[in-house]
Amino acid sequence: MKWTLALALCAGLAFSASVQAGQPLTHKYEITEENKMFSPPELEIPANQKVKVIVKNLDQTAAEFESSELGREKVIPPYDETFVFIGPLKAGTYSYIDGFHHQSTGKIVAK
Amino acid sequence: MLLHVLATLSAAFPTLIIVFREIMEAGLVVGIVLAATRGVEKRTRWVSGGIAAGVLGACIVALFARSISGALEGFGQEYFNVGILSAAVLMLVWHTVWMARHGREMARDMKAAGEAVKTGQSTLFALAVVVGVAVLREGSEIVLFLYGIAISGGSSTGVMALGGALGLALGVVLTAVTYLGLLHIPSRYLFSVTSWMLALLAAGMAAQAVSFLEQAQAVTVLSDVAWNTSTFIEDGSLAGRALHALVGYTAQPSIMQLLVYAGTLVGMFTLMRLFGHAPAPKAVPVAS
Repeated sequence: MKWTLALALCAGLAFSASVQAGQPLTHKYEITEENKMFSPPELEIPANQKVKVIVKNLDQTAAEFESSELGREKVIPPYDETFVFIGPLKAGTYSYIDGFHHQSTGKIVAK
Repeated sequence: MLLHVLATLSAAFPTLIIVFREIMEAGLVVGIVLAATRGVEKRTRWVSGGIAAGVLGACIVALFARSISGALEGFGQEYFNVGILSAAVLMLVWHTVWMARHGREMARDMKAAGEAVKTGQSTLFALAVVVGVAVLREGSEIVLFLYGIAISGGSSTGVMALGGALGLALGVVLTAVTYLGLLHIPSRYLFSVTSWMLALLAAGMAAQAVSFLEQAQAVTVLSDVAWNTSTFIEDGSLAGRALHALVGYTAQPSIMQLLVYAGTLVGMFTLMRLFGHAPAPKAVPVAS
């Protein structure tokens, strides 16, 4: 377990460094989950552009930002926040769900 | 009375489903590994060890979820997943090549001995790691999910605990069904069938590692979605998740994921051809 984690961290550092080097300015957006409800329920982002979406979990229970359409899956511990890069997306509506609470869903609309 | 039971069960159902899904994905791997190692001495303790290590790892990961998440410029989760999936893929490749080399010898030993054989034990560590990784991945999500419910308190906690317990029980039943079902395959085909299943498992895990690299923005080429089969099998459906666990199914794979998937299979096949043939037995003088 230890060496695989060490290996992963080393690989991650190397990749991460190369990614940060040539990063153009990316617009940031925010989604908040509170009482198991996402707001805004429909987030508007520009189409054909990569954006950074910060997802905040204000609840006591862990959440998971999960979208098969967007190919994103990330756990958000309680009272924590994380981010995912979305796009460039063709214009349209994409849905996501809280993997730990399927009744909670949201949409990202690319215009 | 019955109405009360039904009401409780329906309240517990969402939790049951979430726990069951995760247990199922790990359970399928456990079932295949158990079937693939049938007849090998001490395999139960190795597989159990893998499960135990996975459970322990899951608790530790859940405990350090925030630190992992925040590590590596916020891509800690992604790289952690890449790391453990890669380890599992390497172990599966090693096992498959080993089986190609010693499989026939092992089958022969089993037929001759009629009881548990020693050959095949070298591969048990590798398979224990694969089981451990599968249990850790799914287990960490369950632990995080259940922990939050536990500490949130309130009247719903008991109901959700019930849902979790039922989900776990169902998942274990599914694992047993998978294993026993595979054992119905005639023993002369069991090795090749399980080897293929493990090869597809490896390809699926490799492709999934790529999807995490894409999520971490480390891989950006060939990221266009190749096709969308959501109309046939949705990613979130039970069938979708079962197929995902077994063969790495995903409804909207990127081109890179497909390449890595195919590449893993081709690579494994190539390695099997290169290293998979046991040297010819030395000629033994026969007393005349």
